Amino acid sequence: MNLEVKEPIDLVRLSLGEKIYIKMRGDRELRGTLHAFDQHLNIVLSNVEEVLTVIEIDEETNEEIMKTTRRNFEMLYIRGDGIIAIAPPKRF
Amino acid sequence: MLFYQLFKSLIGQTITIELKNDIMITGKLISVDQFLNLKLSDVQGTDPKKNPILSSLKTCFIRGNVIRYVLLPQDQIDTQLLKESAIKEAAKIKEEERKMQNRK
Amino acid sequence: MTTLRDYVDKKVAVISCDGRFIVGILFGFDQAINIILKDCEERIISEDRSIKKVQLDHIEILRGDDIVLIGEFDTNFEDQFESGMKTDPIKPLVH
Repeated sequence: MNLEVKEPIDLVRLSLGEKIYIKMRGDRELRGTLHAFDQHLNIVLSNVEEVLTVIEIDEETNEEIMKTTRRNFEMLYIRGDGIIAIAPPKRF
Repeated sequence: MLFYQLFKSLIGQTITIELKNDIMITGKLISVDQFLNLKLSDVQGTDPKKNPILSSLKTCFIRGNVIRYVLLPQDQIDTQLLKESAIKEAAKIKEEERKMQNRK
Repeated sequence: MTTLRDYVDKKVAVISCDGRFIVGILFGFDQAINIILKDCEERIISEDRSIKKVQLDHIEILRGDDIVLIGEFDTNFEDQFESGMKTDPIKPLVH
């Protein structure tokens, strides 16, 4: 296997089998083990935790309240067009 | 091609699809094409109380680009094979790109 | 190949990207999933979750890019629609 990192996609390839972090459109974040990817950045992850952040505005005080919901999935295919960024999670 | 093959191998299995409009649909996968459009039979809204209209569909065709996630049956996925296919596919694409570059 | 061929001349339900729910007969389609529907009815889902049926007198052409899903409509289900079934409104698609 070629271990050179020349293009961004090489970094994804080197993360195969490792736990990665994905930032998605719509204030979603995913953490899970990377099993597959393609040139569109379609991805398969296992043992996934999704964190969805919603900001609600309190009607009385006009304060912004951050709410997070978590979901877990055993095995998940993610369509690449929703992905903003990918990173190994230890940096976070 | 990798994910086309993956979904092809899952034909006959029950999967749950989450769409970009937050609708979740569960059904049996009956076909897939190169755009990763999927066709399901025995369709049901994952939460039938929320979207009972989905139960009015016998089969349904979902355009690939409206899919956010597909929840896959873990026991049907060979992760080792997936990983190897992903590496092979990445190498193949690089090779094709190189050929294109040389042609220019 | 996943195609809409087996839906042609059948009653189908279509959900569009802006959250509309349309029932009609599939007249034709192409590679890009642009479709032609005839005898269309729109099922409008109001705030209180009730469904209103509105007859559309025209033939509807829907662009593939505006389509979320197309399903074969089970006509047995018609009665349940009539009987004041309630459902959550369909959210617009966010890419």
